[in-house]
Amino acid sequence: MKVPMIWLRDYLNLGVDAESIAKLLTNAGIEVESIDSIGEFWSEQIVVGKVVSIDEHPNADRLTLPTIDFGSGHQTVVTGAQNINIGDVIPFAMEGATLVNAYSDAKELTVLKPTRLRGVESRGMVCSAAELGISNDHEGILILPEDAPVGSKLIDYMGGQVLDISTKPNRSDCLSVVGVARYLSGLLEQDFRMPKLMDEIDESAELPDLQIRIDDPVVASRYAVGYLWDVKIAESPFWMRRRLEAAGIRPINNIVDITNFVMLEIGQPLHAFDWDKISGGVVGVRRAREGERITTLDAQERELIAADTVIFDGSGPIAIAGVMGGLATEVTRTTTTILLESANFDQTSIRRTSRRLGLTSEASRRFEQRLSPETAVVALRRAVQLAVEIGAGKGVSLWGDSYPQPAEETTLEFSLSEIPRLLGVEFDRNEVMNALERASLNVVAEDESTMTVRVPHWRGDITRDVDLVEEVAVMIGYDKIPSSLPAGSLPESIPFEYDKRLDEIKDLMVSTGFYEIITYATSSEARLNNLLAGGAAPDDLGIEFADRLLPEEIKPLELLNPLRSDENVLITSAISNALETLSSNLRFNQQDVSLFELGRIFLPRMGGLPIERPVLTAVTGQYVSGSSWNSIREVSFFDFKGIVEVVASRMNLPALEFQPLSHPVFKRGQSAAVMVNGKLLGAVGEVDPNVCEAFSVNEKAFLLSLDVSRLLEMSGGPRPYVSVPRLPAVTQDISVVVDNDVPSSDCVRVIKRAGGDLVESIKFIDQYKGQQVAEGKRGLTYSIVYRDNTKTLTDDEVANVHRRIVRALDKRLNAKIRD
Amino acid sequence: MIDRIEEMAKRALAELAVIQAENLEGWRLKYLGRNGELNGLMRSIGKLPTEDRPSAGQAANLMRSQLETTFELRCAELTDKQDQESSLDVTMSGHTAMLGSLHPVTATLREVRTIFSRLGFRSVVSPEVEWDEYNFEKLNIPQDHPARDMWDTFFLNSDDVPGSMLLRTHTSPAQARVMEQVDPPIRVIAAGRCFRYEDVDASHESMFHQVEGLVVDENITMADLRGTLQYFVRSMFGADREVRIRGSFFPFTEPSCEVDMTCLFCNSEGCRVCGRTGWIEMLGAGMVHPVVLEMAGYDSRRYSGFAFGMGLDRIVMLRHGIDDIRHLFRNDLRFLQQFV
Ligand SMILES: [Zn+2]
Repeated sequence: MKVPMIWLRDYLNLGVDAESIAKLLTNAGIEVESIDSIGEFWSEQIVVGKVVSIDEHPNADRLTLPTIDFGSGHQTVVTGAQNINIGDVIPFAMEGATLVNAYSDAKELTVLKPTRLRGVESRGMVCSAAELGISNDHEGILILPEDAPVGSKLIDYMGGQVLDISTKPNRSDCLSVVGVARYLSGLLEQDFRMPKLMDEIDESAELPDLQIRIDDPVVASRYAVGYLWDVKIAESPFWMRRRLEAAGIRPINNIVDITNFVMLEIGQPLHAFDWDKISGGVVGVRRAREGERITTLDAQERELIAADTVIFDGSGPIAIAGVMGGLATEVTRTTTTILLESANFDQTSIRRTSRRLGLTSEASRRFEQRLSPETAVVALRRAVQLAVEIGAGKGVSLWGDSYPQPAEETTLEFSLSEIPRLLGVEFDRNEVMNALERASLNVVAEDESTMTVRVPHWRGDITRDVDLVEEVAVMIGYDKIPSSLPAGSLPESIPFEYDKRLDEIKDLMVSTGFYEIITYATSSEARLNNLLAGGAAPDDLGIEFADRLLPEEIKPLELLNPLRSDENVLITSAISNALETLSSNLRFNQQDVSLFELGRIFLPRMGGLPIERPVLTAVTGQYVSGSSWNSIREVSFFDFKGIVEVVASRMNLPALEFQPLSHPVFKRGQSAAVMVNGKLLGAVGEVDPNVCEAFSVNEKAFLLSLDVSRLLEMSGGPRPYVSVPRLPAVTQDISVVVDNDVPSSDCVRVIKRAGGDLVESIKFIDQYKGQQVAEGKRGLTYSIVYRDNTKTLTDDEVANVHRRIVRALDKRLNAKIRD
Repeated sequence: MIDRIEEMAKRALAELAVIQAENLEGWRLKYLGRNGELNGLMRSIGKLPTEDRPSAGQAANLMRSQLETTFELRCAELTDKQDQESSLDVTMSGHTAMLGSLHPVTATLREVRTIFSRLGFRSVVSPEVEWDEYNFEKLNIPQDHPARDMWDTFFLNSDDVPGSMLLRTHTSPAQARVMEQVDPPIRVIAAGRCFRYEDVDASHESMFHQVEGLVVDENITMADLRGTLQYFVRSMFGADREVRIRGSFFPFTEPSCEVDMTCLFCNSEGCRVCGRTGWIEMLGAGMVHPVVLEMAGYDSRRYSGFAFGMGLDRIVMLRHGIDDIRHLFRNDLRFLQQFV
């Protein structure tokens, strides 16, 4: 909300500049976002001038030639404005003045230069409010009050600063100038002056019959009305217009201006009905009927629902309560009697209706907050006072009032020991009392350890003693709170630091050359479905896998209000984000793209929140750099398998099994499912070329995807120590030729079984395919380490077991020794 | 005799002049060794007539010292040459280690976690998809409360579930979840992604990271809040940072505050980063609202606590001087590689 300094000064002596006020309010939680200046660019060339004569333009009917007295001389200028008369006091800009170019859309500043208009020279200019940057009003010249001092600089006369305050939802009282001034008076320890209010009752007035009704006390807790007669619609006075404009509200006419002025000043929105257009002598509040229609002030017919609240008269709805008035009872130039509404509506209903209709306004914004029902009458008294004061009409401030359950005064008992308990500092009793009083919280009773405090009606946010502790802290100043560290014992109840385990995995990925990425949680079904471009029907394994890492068969959770249509579901797989990121980086001509993400996917679950499964996804293009200069090498399946093995080893998993994988994302024959104890841990391998294409990756891509929750679940604790061998080992290589479809893991298993305890380890060394082996066969070479931990092995013992292995390989796998 | 000595010396020096480094030792043994030619000649001097011995001995000794000197010079010369031939151009680039990097958000979060862990804070995780109940209601933000406007929310289609699901707008639901699971004392931080329904620009992202902190115990005060956050700010940004707290409002804390630190870039003089105020807004905080404690089943007269929530991305941006939040989630390697 914009609070002009000049308006604040109506209610208290500030004594300090706007910057200090801003600081004080901000520190107290009423945040001043900026200090705007009115007339910041007004130079000395803009002064208060007086029209002393007006001549006709010799060549143009629509132009006139006013002569302006600007204090130190006279000047005749050309103007197209029709609203000035001899004797008017106006803002006058002389050559060199800076003004807003009101004709341009950008509203940029320009410097006034002498010009010729239809043959007559004009060196100066009479200004509109728009040209001065005060408002967008460019319909005529701004007419200043008659007593404005001719010749003085305009900046001195009407420049000023405006505080732009962002009010927190608890402080609806500070959605008004009076509220800010009152709070500020406490902070500054200055006296606050309430604006002048009309008495509630005027016995002498003869008033028409009126019945006020609240048909449903849930939708309105109070409905009060004032009455104005002998109304003359006209322009409101300069001081009122100036304050409205400074606060960002465009002046319209005296009645509309009064309602806006009071809303800004007191915080209570008002609505003026043309009383003569109200039928049946009755005005009330009720819930709307489903399907009921009303034409609002903007000439739109609107259909209402039962959750809306309407104001009605004898004929039907005449306004949507708190949101917009009806066209039928609008105040026009010919209006002479006015019913002035000041009500307290249900916040929720106003909030929902204004949102539903897209009609949020300064008024609806205030109604959505907690307004005090007491303020309703204060606002009526102020409005009628103003109407009489500025000659807009005669009036009675409280013509009718329905207030079925008057709010009770709140008093809170407050234990002084709460201050040190919550703030960690003790304040002197008088200091506390003084702080409360400054916050308009009067101490009505006290004893040794407690104070009883009366909460003023406008501080509906104060409901518990803890709120009083905050008021005391704010008034005394948060800077009085010392610094300490929490004492007491450290909690032991949260044993497992989950993200520390994730860190281990991340560090491992970084050390193998991958860059961590963080992608969005959202995508679209179409983008996720790019993963299915491979199209191959998944086999049994594939289907189980799909449950976990692919969108297939899983309907992703939808956002009800996405920002963009291609970000409208939660990801059910992290692979598409990874491939998209790979693709965009390859497009930037990066050759060596190795990326990983440890993120969450969201798997919908009946009747509950989705499962947020942590997954590790890593991806590269076809090439990565080697470690020497200018070395680029092709990535292979075994690079990725190696990474999986290292991760498994770091997490101390049981033995991994790699099985051939058939899955739409992965290229068949170039990928594997990773199993642990018969459970699927993830998949690794080359990406299906069609999937690459769907993601605009024009080279091979490699991918791994691991279910991190399973990884953590199966992760062993700290590894038990195995004694370092004291006796020597014997290493022997063995090369065999096998059919291509015999997996290496079978050879290893056979070697292990045949070799028994004497085989300490088996290392795969090489694969050979080529002329020296028959078609459909390949050579495999292993290095076997033999060791007996109880005695030194003899050559005979090694030869025996080696022979046993050779026989077993032959028998079980038809594997022949290759020389 | 003297002729023989001179003849030998001439030969030896001629050989030395063209010798290769690997033959130096052979040359030394041949001429100057114990059984070398010079010693042979010396020995034969003893067989000369007595009157000839002094001059021959003198000539032999002279020759020995000349050969030795020349040999040493030649040795030095050849070793130098060898060194020169095998020395490296140390200005050429080093071989790049095959290292990736953590995302700067992760790296910064680790630092944050480390600082708080020194004060005994444990780290917990919390769901990103939440019930309205945890994101709002248990934090003292009932349905239709105007305070809800403080959080623009992405809602999820909740047709099949008994409640309203949303993407958490802050990490504060972790407060309610932790309090639901354990009894005081509590000292935790919970970090992670949050989501706001707002247009993206240089300083706003619809996805961002927060770090939530929660301490609940007997005798926890706002002074503890101030001290803890001051410790954090100074550990993270330097011991000379000043911290100020000022009034604010959050439905789930009372009293509430904003915590600012003196600007890193201008030493509080005022600059573009701090909006010419000299202060940088760090986080929102406050004493846990008694309603929130009570909803968790705690006795709000016995226990008190403080909570805070800070924007992690902003801390990342401040640390690295990143001017546009959108860089963080574009995952451009040209950006990421700067943090190896
Ligand atoms: Zn600065």
